[in-house]
Amino acid sequence: MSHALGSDLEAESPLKGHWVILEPLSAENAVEVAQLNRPREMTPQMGGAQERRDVPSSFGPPLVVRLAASSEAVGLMENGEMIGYPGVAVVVIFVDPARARAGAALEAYTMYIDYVFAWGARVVHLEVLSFNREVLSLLRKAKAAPQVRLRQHAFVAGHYWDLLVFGFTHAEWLLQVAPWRRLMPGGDRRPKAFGRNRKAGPE
Amino acid sequence: MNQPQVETPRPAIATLDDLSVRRLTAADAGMGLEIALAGDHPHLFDIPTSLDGLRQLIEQTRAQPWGLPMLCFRGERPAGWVITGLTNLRALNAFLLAVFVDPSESTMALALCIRHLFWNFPLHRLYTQFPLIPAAAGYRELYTRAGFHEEGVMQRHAVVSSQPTDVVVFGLLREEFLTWSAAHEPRLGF
Repeated sequence: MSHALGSDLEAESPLKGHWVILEPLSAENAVEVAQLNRPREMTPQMGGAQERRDVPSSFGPPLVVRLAASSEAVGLMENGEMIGYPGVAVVVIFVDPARARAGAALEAYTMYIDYVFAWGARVVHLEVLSFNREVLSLLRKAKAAPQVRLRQHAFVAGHYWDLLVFGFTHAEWLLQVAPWRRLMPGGDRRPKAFGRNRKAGPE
Repeated sequence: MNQPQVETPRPAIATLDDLSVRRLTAADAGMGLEIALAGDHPHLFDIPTSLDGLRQLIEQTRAQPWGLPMLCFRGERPAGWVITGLTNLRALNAFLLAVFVDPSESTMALALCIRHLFWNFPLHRLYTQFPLIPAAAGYRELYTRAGFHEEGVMQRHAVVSSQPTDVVVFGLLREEFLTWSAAHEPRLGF
């Protein structure tokens, strides 16, 4: 693979952030990940119960998100190559909103997108439900605009919803993520808050 | 005692003026391949360029939920073929791939196939996408004429002739098709 991050994870060493640790999905953490499925199914932003997926992870193995402070597994990040579009990574991210603060989720997200590009993705493709205000607000702040609105494409929580498609190359990602990196640990700016009325960082 | 009124369903339509549509089978692969290789189709669509490849695609499509590959004729001449894929049984949508000899003359042929899909299956939405190369112009107009909405452009998603290329996305909802048919060809309504 083209980047040190990818090499690290081939050797199954976790990626360490300030608030989160990302580790490859394995037999050791499979039970914890299975337990994440219930909150995932009950979270409309994630589209409810998961459907069978046939496209395996293409740009690095799935990563489990673990809080650094408590070692609790709170999320899973995975990707698959978009059918018909070589090099395009469709990224699926779940971080349990009840257990991880927005700051931790943001750190995990930025680390994971770095990782997917390190594994050779040409374009990262994100699909966000039109009612997912938190994620859309975050993307708007990063000046990422939706490229496509797939009208009534998803059936979630008893209704059809539009799905907004975002896509970016590595160069575009570096521009998007720069303001967030300044806000995160090690950056030169203090965050006012990640999410509504919350202090930065996990409890 | 009054009998309750029973609505009568509108019948399937396999012919419309000089157009007709029938099921595409592996035996039609030769005809289908000729259409697939015409013009710039191999760059425009992710389609097989061999007989065996097309036979396989047809068989795979038929094996999928709501798989109904269709072959269109104008008179005796093959005009194009249409298949669906990536069917989502929860959101009731499917990807539509339509390949026509002459997209500029194929609005009603496409509409006939779409009607057959919406008439047969509880689909809520059909969508399609293709790279924005010059050959796409005819299809962009075709889908617009057939009532599809252009939903956006996925930037640099495709690679055509080694170049990153934008991909346009079109979508059509069931109710939009019924509105379209009422305005353009009421015989296709149901």
